[in-house]
Amino acid sequence: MKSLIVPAEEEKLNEIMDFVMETIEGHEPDDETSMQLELAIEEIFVNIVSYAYSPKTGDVEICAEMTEDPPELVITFADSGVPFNPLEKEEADTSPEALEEREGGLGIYMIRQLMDEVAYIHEDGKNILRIRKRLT
Amino acid sequence: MQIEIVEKGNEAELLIEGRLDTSTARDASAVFEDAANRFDKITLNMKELTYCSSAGIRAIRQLYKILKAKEGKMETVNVSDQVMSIFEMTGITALLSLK
Repeated sequence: MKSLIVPAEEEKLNEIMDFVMETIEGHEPDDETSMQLELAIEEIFVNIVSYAYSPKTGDVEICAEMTEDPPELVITFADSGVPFNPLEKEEADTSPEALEEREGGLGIYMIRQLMDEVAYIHEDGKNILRIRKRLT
Repeated sequence: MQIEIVEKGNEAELLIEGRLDTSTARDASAVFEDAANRFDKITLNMKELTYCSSAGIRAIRQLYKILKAKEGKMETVNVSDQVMSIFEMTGITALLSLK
C-alpha cells in the first residue's frame, strides 16, 4: 500500500493522478477504464477541496493498492476536516426536468456509477472514502 | 483547453479542444457565457474534447440555460464515444440536441 499526502488544493490533482498511475504501472487498463478512474478521483478530490477544510486548508492522504488476481485497484482518501459523508449527499436527479435546475450531487452520482464499490467511514477523526475498481 | 469560435452572423460554432475539468471549466464558462450573450444559436463541436467531468457538465448546462432564457438554440456535434458515455450516464444528453 503506497501513500501520498497533499494539501487539499485543486492544483494537486495532477500529482494524485500521477501517483495512482504509478501504482498500476504494468497493469494499465483500457482507455475507458483509465478515464473512469480519472473522473472518480477528480470528483472525490474536488469534493474534499471544496468542503473538508474550507475556508482553511489541510492535508489529504491518498493510499492506493493494486491486487493482481483479479486485477483490482483500491484507493482511499482520508482527510481530517469537517465530518462529512459524501454518500449521504442527495444524489443528482438526472431526469431531463430536474437536470436544468439541480446543482449538487452530480459528482457523487458519477463516482457511484463509475466505480465498482464506494464506501465511507469516519474513524479517528478522519473522513475516509474508499473506492474499488476492477481493471480490465 | 482552448475554445475556437467560428462566427456566422448570429450563429457561432464553438470548437472545444482538450479537457473540460475542474481546472478548465471556469475559463470555459466565461467563453460560453460571452458567446451565449452574443449569439442566438451555438453549436458545440466536441471533436477535440477528450474528457468531461462534472465541472464541464455544469458549464455546458449553464450555457444551455442562458440560451434557453433568451429563446436561443444549442446543438452538439462530434462527441467521441468515450465522452458520450459520460454524457449518457449523467443524462446531459437531454439538453445537448445531438446532431
